[in-house]
Amino acid sequence: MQPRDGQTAEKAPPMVRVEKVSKRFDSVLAVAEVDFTLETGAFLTILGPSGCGKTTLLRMIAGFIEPTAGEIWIHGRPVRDLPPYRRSIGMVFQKLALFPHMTAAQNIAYPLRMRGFPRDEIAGRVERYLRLVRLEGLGGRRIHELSGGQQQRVAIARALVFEPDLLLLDEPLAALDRKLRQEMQLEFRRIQKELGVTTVNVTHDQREALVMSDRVMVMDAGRIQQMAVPETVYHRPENRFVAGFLGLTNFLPGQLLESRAGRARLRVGALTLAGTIADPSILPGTRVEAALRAERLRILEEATGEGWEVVEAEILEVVFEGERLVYSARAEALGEVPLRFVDADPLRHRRHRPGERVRLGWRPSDLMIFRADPEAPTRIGQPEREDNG
Amino acid sequence: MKRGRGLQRLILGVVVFDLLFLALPTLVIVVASFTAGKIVAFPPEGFSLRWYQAILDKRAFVDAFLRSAYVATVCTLVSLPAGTLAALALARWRLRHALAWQLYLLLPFTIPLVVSGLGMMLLFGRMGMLGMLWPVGLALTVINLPFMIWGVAACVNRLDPDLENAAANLGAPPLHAFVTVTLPAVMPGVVTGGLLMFILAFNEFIVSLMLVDARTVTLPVLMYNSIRSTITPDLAALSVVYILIAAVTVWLLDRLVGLETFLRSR
Repeated sequence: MQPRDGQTAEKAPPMVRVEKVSKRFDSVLAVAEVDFTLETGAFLTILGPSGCGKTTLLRMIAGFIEPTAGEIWIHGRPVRDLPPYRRSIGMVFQKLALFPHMTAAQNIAYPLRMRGFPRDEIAGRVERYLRLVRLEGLGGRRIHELSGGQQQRVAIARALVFEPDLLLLDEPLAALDRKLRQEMQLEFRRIQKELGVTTVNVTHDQREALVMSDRVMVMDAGRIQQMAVPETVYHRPENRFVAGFLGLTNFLPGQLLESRAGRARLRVGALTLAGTIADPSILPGTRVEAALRAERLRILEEATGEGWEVVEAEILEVVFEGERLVYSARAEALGEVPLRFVDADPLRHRRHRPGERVRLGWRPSDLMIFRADPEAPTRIGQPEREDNG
Repeated sequence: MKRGRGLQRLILGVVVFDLLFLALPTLVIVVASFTAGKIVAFPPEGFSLRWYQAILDKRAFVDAFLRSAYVATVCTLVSLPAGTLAALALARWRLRHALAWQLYLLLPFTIPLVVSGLGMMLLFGRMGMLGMLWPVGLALTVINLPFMIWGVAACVNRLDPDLENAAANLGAPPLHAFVTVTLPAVMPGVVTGGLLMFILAFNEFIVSLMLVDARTVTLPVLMYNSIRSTITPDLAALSVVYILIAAVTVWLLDRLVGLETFLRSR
């Protein structure tokens, strides 16, 4: 297990410190006791479904919303009494919020004008940042004369030109089409690395979170579910929610038999399976769910070596997704829940037809055991879909 | 294929007829104004500009024209801040009873102009303002304000809800953000609404009729009074002046806002 956070403490105060921050709207607790720190230069992505509180958290950092409880520190200074225009934070908004009556260059110059920079320095900086976002020569364009990707670049230049302590991204890429979005993810990442500005990004797109960030914070129901480096969040989820939110995950409902030193055995249907368990507090007899990622499950064509769990299954459905095939199959021994698994190299493998019987295998170390989600006892993890909610 | 072409011709015919029908009154009056005769007639008798000379020579017409311009200016100046702020408040602030406010501001539309005029006649009479010109502009502001609000609201609703947040985030205190971001961003709506208010006040007849007297008569009321005695071609010439003012307004709108934007916002 990776440490949760804040293990790389330096002498300087962290750039962002969020201390037990909560926000209540009438009867709804939108953000519940969120607590974390972010080192200077880090890129954090807050990932979660809509309504999980991620945007509220971001807006509290920006100063548009006041926390109900808790304290936010930026650069070692509490910001409770600082209005947004006195905080040194650049933000790229969901719909960009570029000023429609100004040119690209005037938009970028705006924060400098507000801060009383001398005229010639404004011109120089605007030029430099236009270059940084690769918009040389387009400064004179009106906003509506620019393409979607170019508008994104203006918005990021405007948020960075005054060299803020912190950059906030409020799902600015959500409205873009997939190809442009992936291009802009890398572009944001390049600029962030080049300037070394501490960044907090908010998204519901797990791919974006994994691609762009040094740190990923998964949120649900106003609470932090896990905060770690992307690889850890993906490969070592701490709870059922995180395991289901990232990737294409199968869940097998069962009962814990024994648990010792991170290894455990559980009963699923008629079988006893071995797996890993992160939470030592789960007692034998508890209802649990075993998570098995679709890409860790595969068809075993020939007799297998040691270390594989194997079940018989019947193919139900095959979906062609271009670079991979997604199968769904039923293994009677594991109950009625369909199992999904992927063939990542469909050109080299025979395509199995629905109704065909196959042998499915996985390694016990890939089976992750969690306390069962009381609300959805047999739900299968969200499919890997990039919707633009 | 042949039947399709027949249908196409029919539709084309209907469209041409409709367009002509829309323009017909205007065309007739324009043509009639160039008559050389002594009565309004269509087709006109010969061609001359004598009736244009006639309206310029007639002091009463020129004065009434200037009074109409004055009334329209007062109306526009009052409605610009009132309508702009009302539209911004309705669209941007989470007002309590927002719907009730909206209905209240649209009230003038639901009341016949005769009734509004009567009410204002009584009120202005009571306040001793009946012989004055500027209260007429105020009255026209009241009856036409919904147009101003609509003009601005159409523009505000298209704005990014985070526009002011962005300004604050970039370092602008509230008042500064309003002046440098909000106001310029809704300017197309303000210009549209303002021009609309001007032309409506310039043309307004019913309410004005009840509020003016012989010394403060505005152009539409004067024209009406003239028609009641004799219909001379100078009225046709005056009508052409109105058409010109409307054309100038549309031209201004196109220059300042862009007709495309204006038509899309309706």
